[in-house]
Amino acid sequence: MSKVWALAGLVVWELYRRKDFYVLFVLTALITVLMGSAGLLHGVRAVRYVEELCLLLIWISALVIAVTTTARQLPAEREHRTLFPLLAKPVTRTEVILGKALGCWVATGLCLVVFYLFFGLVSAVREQAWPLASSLQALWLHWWMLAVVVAMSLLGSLLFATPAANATVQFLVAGGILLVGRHLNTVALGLPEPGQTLIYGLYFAIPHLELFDVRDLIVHDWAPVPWWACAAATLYAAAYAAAFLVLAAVTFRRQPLQ
Amino acid sequence: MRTPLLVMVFLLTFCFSLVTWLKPALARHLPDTARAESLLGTALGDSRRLFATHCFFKADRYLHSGFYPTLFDDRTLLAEKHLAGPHDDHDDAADNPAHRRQAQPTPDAELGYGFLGPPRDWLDRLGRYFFPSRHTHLEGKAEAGELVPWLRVAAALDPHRIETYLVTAYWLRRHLEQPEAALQILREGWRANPESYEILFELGRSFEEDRQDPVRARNLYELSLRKWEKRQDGVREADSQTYALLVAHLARLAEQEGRSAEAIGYFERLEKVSPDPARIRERLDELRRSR
Repeated sequence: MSKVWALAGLVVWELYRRKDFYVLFVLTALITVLMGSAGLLHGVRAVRYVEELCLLLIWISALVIAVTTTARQLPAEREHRTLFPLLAKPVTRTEVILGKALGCWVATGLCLVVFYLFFGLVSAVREQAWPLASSLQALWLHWWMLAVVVAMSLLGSLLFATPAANATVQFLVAGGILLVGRHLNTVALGLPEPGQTLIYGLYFAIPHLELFDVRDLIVHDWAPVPWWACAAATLYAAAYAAAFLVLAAVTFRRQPLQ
Repeated sequence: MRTPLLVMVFLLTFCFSLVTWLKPALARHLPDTARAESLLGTALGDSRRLFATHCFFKADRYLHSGFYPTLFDDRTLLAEKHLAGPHDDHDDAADNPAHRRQAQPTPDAELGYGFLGPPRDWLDRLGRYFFPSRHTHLEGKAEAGELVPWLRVAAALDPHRIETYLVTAYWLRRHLEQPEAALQILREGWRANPESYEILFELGRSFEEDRQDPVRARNLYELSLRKWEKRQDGVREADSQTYALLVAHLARLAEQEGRSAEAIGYFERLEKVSPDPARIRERLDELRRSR
């Protein structure tokens, strides 16, 4: 396990040195502050539109960081020819996959902490309140959603020829699931057979990333999600992330290095 | 290599020349209001109407604290017209205990599933804990302000959508206690839509009820009535609801100011379109007796 953590540490260090996170964070902060300071009508106080915008930017930024960071890990090792000396050490290919995935996941988690601290600051300043339990749940669920995205992107980096192609496919898949994933069952029920079974099958097969999106609950001041539901969602994400990582490990073991 | 380049240059030159000829020709035929576009209007073109509709629905979504049908849901099941307007009183909705957000979001709400229907599978049941799945409304003055940004953006994107001004003014007057801001919005709307009898009627109500200025209110109602008559000429299904409201307000003002003959005239007009003509007839008889 120490080898996996050592590899993960390298990935975190790499994200720390790169500019992706800083640029996205500054952009998020700048747009949120600008929109928050926009004058609407004298005497009318509105907070939720700023919170919604801030959370949307956080979701986009986190997805970009997770996908781009993960998609370039293995191709970069191959391109720089550092994969051979790495595998010449007493490290198995499975440990490389696990290390890379853990590193990307931890790195995106650290970014999320900074983003959600900023969101908390925005809520505290604008609303004079910070729903701590809801924010922690949102952060936790968001992080687990990214675990699935990281695992998918790592598998994609072994299947697609370039990191750009992989990233594009991952954005399309994640975006598609987030937008229509929840409604596939409704669509399926309106279709004739065999379309109904096919779409319903797809509905159960895809990882429902939208399950982890509790932005509306935070923005509209709903009570936190029941903890058992939160735990169930965590197990759901862990199962999908594990499945994708197993597939990635098997693919990597069977793939020639060059 | 040179031929495609020359073709490209030719096409670009042709396009540029076409624009310099078309733009002034189009501008001559467009009305003044359409020509006076903002930077946003120029940048987005006609698509801004689409965004304006989106922002308008977004305000309705905020009113329901995020519980709102998507493209895939049955919108008819959210039957009430929630954002309301000059014809609606929506106060009772916020007082309804069924509309309060106290408990955690739950798919087992005793109040029914709304447009979502009962959960179709275990994933659907679990998923409903993670988004607003109960019908609620914004409560109180502090929360009602949350709708305004979206309505303001909707008005900026599509200044010719009259409903946006009416709804914004309604919320500002009735829920936010901001009559001056409502007046400002309605004036903006009137500038963009000078022929709108709906905005004039709402302006009249603002002057009558908020500023207690019956003279200006009457002038605005009369202007609104003239615009209504002008607009309804030859129209098969006239907007009788606004007409009834206009005539009722004018009749009441005339009665208050002691102009009985005028009041009787308006009540006679109201009797023809009122859903309760017997009551209007009683009122007319009272007025005739008192003369």
